[in-house]
Amino acid sequence: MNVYKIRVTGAVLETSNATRRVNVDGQVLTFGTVPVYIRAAALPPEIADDPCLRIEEVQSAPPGVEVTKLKAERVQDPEADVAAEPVDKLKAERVQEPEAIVASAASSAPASSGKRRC
Amino acid sequence: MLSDLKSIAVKATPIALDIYDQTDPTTLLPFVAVVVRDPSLAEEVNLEWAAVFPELRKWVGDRVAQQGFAGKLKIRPELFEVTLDFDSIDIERGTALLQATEKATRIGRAFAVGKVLLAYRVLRENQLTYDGQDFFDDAHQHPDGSLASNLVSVVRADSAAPDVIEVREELSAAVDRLMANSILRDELVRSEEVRKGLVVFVRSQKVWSAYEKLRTEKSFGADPNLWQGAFELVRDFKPKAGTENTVDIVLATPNGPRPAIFVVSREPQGLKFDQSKEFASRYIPFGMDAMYGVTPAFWQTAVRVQPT
Repeated sequence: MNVYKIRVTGAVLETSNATRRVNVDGQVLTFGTVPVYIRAAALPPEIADDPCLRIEEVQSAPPGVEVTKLKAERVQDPEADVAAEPVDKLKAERVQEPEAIVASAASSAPASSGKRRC
Repeated sequence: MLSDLKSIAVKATPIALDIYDQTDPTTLLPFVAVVVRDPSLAEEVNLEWAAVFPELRKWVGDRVAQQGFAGKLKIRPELFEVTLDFDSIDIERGTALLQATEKATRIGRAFAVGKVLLAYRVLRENQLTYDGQDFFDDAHQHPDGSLASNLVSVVRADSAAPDVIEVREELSAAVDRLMANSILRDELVRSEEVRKGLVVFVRSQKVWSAYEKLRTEKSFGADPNLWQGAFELVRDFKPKAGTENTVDIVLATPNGPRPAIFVVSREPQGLKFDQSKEFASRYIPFGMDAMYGVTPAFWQTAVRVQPT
């Protein structure tokens, strides 16, 4: 499981709301200037491909900061049940193949495709 | 020669401005955008007033001005120009006005086309709106905090080639969503208000063909075609990759307060020669400039149909 620190880009900060919502399988996550920490094997494409989000992979979240957990639909992680931090459970769109998880973890950084612009 | 150039520019200016005002692309603009003419030279134009949709309130002993829900809509106008080379030999030949007229026509048309495309970029590039979302997005938020989407997913047997029955269904679904989204406060919406003045943007020949059939056919078998002549159909020949099969439907509000796009315009004043180049070359730059600023406005007045 990786931890991602996510904030919005300057383009979003220039809008009136200065926040950006992302709909992941019906659950809406809101990002703003304050970083949101997400724990997931791999970020869902709704987040990973969003050019308006600045995504960083970090070792861990600062103490006391809430970490949102993204969980694959059918892949159960035994450690998840004993997670110490409070979590909001979210389901990812697809089950990730183990190889894919390794591959995406290896190339984890900001997953923006470069095709869209914010 | 200086007076010749000025005289030519003065005579050709009305031609360029007439073409600019009346040519077809510019007449489309009021359906999808409100154009605010702002002759000031301010770097940023604030359209906060445009986001105020007043609500009837019970008198509580004092007057309280109502604020725009969308906060500040800011636009930064930028300079645009069209310049062509004017062959100064024509001045000596006495045929300068002919050349100027021909160039003025092309410059006027380039401005008209360019201005509309600047506004259309909001839809084509799915730009950011005031709420930090893409213009077409499934996580917009109404003033009361409820979430809304202006993406309509539809099923087509062949996503690249819908038939007329499929596009009829998707247009109905789009109108339904436009009705729901256009309610900013507690209000009643007449179906007629939503159905009048729809502009449909399509991006491929096959999708255009199905929508054009829906727009023009009198009937389908025994069923009269209720969509005949009920919308404007516009084709985008250079869509953004991946959006070829999508359809954007905009609720046109030529006189309404809630446009999909705002354009701030400092209109062209007329044709000019760059007299600093008068003796440098046979060709003298001849053109026109203006300032435009565009911002996505109210996502509530447009939906994107996404086939699966």
